[in-house]
Amino acid sequence: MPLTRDQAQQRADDIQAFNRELQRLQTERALQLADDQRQHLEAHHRALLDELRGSFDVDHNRQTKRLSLSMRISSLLGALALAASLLFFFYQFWGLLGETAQVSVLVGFTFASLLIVHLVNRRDQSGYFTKLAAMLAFACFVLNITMLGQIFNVQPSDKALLPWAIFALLLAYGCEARLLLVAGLLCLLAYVAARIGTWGGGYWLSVGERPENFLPLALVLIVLPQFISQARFSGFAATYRLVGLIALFLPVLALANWGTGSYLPWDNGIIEGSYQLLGFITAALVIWIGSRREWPEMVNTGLTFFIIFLFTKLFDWWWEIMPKYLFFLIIGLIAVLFLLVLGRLRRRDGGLAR
Amino acid sequence: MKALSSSRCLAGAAVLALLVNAVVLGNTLYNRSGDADSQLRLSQRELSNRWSYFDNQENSGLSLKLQWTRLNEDATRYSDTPFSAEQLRAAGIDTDTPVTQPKRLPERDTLVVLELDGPAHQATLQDLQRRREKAAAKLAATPDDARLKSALEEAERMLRNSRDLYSRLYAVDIGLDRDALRQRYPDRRQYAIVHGVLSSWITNEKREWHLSRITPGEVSVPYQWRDALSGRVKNDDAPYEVEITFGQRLEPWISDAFLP
Repeated sequence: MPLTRDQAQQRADDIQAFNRELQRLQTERALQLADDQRQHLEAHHRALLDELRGSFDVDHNRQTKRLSLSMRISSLLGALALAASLLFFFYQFWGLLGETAQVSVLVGFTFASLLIVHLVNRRDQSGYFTKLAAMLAFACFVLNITMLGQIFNVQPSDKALLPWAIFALLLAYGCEARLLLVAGLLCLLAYVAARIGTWGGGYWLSVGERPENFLPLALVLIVLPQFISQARFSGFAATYRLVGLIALFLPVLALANWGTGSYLPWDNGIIEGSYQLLGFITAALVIWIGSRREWPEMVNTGLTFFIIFLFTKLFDWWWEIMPKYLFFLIIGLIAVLFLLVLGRLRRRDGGLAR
Repeated sequence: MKALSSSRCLAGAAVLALLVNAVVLGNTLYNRSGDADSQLRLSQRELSNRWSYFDNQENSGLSLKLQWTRLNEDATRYSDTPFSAEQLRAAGIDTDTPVTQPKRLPERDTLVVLELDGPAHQATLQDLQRRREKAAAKLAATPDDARLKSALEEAERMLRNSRDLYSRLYAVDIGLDRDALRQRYPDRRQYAIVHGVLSSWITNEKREWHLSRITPGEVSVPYQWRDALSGRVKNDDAPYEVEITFGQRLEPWISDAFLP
């Protein structure tokens, strides 16, 4: 029996693919199974799929797969809409309440939403309703702390980001919600970057003035799944890497074009050049590691930022001095070159596999 | 196993929510306990919502914004007046390092001394009075000059507005040592120490720091005064006064309102 939902879904997909290919082989008369073999195989697959559906709620055919995707999108939109509704609902009526009532409503909403998550989780086999309820609980908690700050005129502080991060991560692991994992990691990134900024004497809201503040935790997030296994949580390892990579590449991209935002005491031109070089090297390294480890999120993110770095560099060099048609022609030809190189790598990998 | 893990996580989230709310409310109670750090009686000139362009129909709450300014070298009102090197050093900012390249520096947190209707405001009024007298004297010498007439009207308008309309709250000093600031400005009914944020820019190869905002810059109006004040904040002819108390953590709250 597979350990995780990902493994269970992979097995279900493999069974479907196997059945489709078997059908084709029989039609082409390349393979003929005896009746008892076919019946035995079908019975085995039926029992296995029933077990996988019962334990992991996997999608057992293309139709259910499409429906699952639609449910995920609906769950996300529903969570965002309900969170926005909650925010505007509170703004609409909070002025009609005294401070004690306001505090009671805010705290009550947070605990009520956690209770709803617990009750929904006990009955929800698919997990979609649980994730929606969990998102709403996170929105309630953020609203809780933010509004308490407004009601009592509390000095704004980055310290609120840490409990938000922990709350989101607890719900993410409790409900296997990747979106909440992203929310928690973003809050954590903001908190650590703001703290590093304040240690340097800056105001916490100026976190964006020094993009390098994001780099330490970005690196930690990229390698964390190697040290703390996320195998039991579907897609969490990829999410850590993806968030970490974006938190790494965006500051490097910013500093590659805006050297004044760096801590380094060098000339701005040298800083920008250094970060441009670092961006290219890091993107290439990320692509290489991602293809070796078969981590598609690394390959795709590395490739995306490699292209962004390349095109911003080409823009710097040629936009002013070249006719526009020629500039875009060269961009197009570079894209075609990428296609040829990637196609060749793909064919080579296919040859190696044989 | 999955259900147990989920329950533990939810229980952890509940405990966290309880702790955080306890900390926030505990800090608020502490802020409002003991003797106030300062108490200012501000009018609609210093505490208003008048300049809010977005009248949000869907927000039933009401917050009033602190309106403050700074005194410039020539005694005019200018909120971006930079601070002196001595003041900046007291705020922990290095003023000795020369500006070798236009490096953007992050904003800095500091304590700010706000003065209500004190020497800074009087200096502004005296300067405006002098300008008005000067404009009147020039017009008296050449009574038919339309430009001089217009200049006198403008001088009178500025004096009138500064005397009757504009805020009397001036940010006069900064620093990191709260006790030292309070020793220098002991009158707690005229001087409030608050948190503020300094921003810098480079002018003529020199780095200048100015006060970009007070934090928190707005004060929530308690329920008992909300209806009365919300009717007055947009009305120039409906004056009001509000007593703002700054507590142990220098966080403000409205402790009283006076509505003639």
